Amino acid sequence: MSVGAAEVMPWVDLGISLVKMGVEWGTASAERRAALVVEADEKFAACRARVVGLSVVVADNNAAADAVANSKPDAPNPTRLIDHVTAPQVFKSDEHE
Amino acid sequence: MIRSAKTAVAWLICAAAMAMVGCSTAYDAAQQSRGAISQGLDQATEAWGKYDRAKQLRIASDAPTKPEAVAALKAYRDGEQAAAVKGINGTWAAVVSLDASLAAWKAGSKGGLAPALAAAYARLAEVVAALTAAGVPIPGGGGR
Repeated sequence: MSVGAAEVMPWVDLGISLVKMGVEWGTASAERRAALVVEADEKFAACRARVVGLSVVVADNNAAADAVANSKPDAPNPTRLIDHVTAPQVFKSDEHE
Repeated sequence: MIRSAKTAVAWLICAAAMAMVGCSTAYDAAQQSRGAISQGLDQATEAWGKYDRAKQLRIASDAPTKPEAVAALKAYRDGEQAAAVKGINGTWAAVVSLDASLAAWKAGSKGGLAPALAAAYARLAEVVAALTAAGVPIPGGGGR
């Protein structure tokens, strides 16, 4: 399914976050730069896991429901409808006799 | 199971208050709150995933013919499902923003943390309230 802009939003925010880190990078010490690399990796991994995780759930649920839908007939079965209408009439007639 | 939107919001406020306990600085408190928010969102996401699956299978099963099942599923996916996915993804986006604000705080820019925290809580509250209204049971939410 298409989720549009909502699915992109976490990535946009991640990008903003990375740009801020990039700005800080210019004046950061070697230790701080090492910490920024770790921080960026964590943010990226977390963002990816969340968005991809939800997409997988949705895709899996949709596929399961599609399988049920595809197993249905293309049109109602007329024989069954006739059986459904006539059967109670026959039963009532027998009961009164 | 959460039974009402009010209970859901009360649960979130309670979680926020608990997150604040024992935190010596605003940064620590915000970090704790961030953990509570992402945990709540994880639970909400998992609960919604189960609800979504059950609902779609019921829609597909109840329709007598394939064309009707396909049409009913499309209506659900374009409406309720799309709204839920948008809400959940938007809340994760707010958490990512909160992460950025936490990093900015450490770098000396402290102004964005409080609004980011408030926004993340507000988004989560919206998601939980919407899911609760739809009848999605969220574990650990109180109001049992």
